[in-house]
Amino acid sequence: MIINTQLEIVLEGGKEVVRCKCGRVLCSGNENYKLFALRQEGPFSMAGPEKIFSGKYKGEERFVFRLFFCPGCLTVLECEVAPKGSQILRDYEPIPSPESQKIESTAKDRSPSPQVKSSG
Amino acid sequence: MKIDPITFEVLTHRLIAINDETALTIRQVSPSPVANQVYDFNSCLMTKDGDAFTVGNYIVSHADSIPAITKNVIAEFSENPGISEGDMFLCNDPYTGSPHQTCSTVVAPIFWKGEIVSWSGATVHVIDVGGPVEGQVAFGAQSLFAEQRVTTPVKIVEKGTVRKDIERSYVSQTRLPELLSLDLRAKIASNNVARERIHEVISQYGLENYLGTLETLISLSEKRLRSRLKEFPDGIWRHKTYLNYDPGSGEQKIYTVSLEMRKKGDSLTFDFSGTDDQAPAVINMTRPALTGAVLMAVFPYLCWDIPHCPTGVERAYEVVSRQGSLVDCRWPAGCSKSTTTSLRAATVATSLTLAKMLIAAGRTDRVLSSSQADINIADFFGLDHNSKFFGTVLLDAMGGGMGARGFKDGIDTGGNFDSVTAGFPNVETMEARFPVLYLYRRQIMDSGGAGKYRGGATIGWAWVPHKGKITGIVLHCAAPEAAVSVGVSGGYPSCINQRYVKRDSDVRTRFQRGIIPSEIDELDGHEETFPAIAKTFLGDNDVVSMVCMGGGGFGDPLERDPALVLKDVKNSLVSNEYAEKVYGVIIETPAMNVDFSKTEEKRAEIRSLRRKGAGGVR
Repeated sequence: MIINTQLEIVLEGGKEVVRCKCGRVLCSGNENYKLFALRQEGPFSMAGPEKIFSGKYKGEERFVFRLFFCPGCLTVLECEVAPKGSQILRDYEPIPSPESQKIESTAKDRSPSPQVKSSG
Repeated sequence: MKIDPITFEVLTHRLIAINDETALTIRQVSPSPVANQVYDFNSCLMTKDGDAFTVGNYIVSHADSIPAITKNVIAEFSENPGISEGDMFLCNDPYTGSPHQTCSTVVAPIFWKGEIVSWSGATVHVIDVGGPVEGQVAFGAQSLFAEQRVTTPVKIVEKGTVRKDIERSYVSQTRLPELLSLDLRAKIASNNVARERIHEVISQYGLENYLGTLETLISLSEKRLRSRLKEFPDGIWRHKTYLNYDPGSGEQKIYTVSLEMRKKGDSLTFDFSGTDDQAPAVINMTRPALTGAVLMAVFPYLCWDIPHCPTGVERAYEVVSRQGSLVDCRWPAGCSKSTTTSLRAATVATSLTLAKMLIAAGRTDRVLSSSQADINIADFFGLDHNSKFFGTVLLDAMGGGMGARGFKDGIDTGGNFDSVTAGFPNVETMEARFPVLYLYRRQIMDSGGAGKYRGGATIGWAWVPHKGKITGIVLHCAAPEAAVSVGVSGGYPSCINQRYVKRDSDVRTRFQRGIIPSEIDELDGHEETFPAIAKTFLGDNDVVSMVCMGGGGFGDPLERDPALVLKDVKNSLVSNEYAEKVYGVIIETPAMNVDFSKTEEKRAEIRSLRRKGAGGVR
């Protein structure tokens, strides 16, 4: 099952896992991959077009730009623009197939990455 | 009802052509640039029960608003005042079906041998229908009662004759009676064309073939969409879009439109029940507007080779909403500016969840990131060159950037992905008609979202009052704080909306010196910025500057071909600094070549910073 151009859910060692194209396994197939990705959070200017953003708006006080990277190849997996302090959106969730429901989740064995640094 | 396949194909395309002609009739008759320049209108053809079987490629949400109004007319007024041959009904009521009060609709039955066999409908975005505030935005309203005037369905044409009493009542409260009256004539003309052409079809092919075509078209489009859905993987996709609005507290509240899209087998559900509660006025929408908003994304993302038959396509999925929320408001919440706020947000959320489902299905060839997700508009009123009262909408923002595709850059200033025939106005036409002088209108550097494929660059423009008086201007957009044209698969968001007024500038002194300023920052004066919706005035030396959103990017910017980045820099779509900072591409100047060795180093450095910036290595 393809999640996006970098990630897919594959069977590895009898378990469904979220795996990057580079081969790095992020988490089990039924978890939110964003919680296991490297995450950078900061103002819009991280997205680049400073000329437009130019500090004229209050957006930088209330909204953040979030980048999620593969911990293996450091490719950007997904971006979010969201209110500061809001929960990370789970943008994709598989509907468990009868087969996958039989597979025990690895979620209990692993904890989400706390690695967040605010830039700017 | 069986119909042979050849007759079906011939009639289907003929009906689509008829629908196009009814839409073009609006454009030909209406004197308003909103209709004849921007094409902010639509028309559709319906069955005898008010089910739409074709709709124009103009503002597609009317595919649901026109049928909702028609069904209400059939349900409520068949007995009293009755529906006769030659009748037409006028309506702009959001709780009957209109997206907002300035989308005014006329629907008409089409009779054949004394029986209704079809309906037609036409909607035009009109400039002013009356109400406390000029134009479409009920600035400061706390309910529908303080918004633009509502007209529930009334028989405006009776047996072929315009009812003068109703017309007079309709135009009595507008500030622009001639314009409103002519826009009404445009809709009536459109329905007249529909009736004549459908009569020709039935005369030539017979009623049975005509009705058989409608029935087959509806069932075929549903069947084909369900069949497509079956090919796609099951899953749940989510997206949230944000709006800013002051509900009367004096603070800009953040409202969230939340979508969970669930796909299983051949069924698809768009569930908006997690959306925030309704606002008192202005930014809400009613249920027909929501289903229209979803359809706006479903057509281009899923139906590229499926007939754009609204009823058939909509039978293949379900839209869930919670009454009392922003996207399914409860009377008497106001809806005067739904179309570019909650409606747009729902379309954006739908398009992004569909884009992700298409990627999962391996159909990156059909993916589009978010396109000009928020539209930056100015309604303004005053005295024109001839000291005559005027009003209009500046819709340059209809030329925002399109989202990057899954295989190619987004189209620069490509405009709406959802209403592909809608355009944006000609500068000279606007200057000739209204007291404005553009300083410039152009594509904006660094405005498209970065990505392996770049989001389309957007449009920016600046203007000053000229040979007239602008007494009131309402600036409005949905999300001035957040870039809601987001990317997909690691693509970056576009720029945010930008609009400000440079007060008491020296622009006229510069004109006298023969200088046309090319940047607002060059001008003396002080800047005033505005929240999502604001009403203000313009002095003779006040310059308005606006930038709309571009398109979101697709894929990691570090995967972009350096040659494409160089091309963008040469075309002034990307700056050298942006090329280096986000794309990691080093361009040698003045030779304007890519330094591949330094580019490789820079990209390695950015990747390393990503690890560092994220707080370490997992």
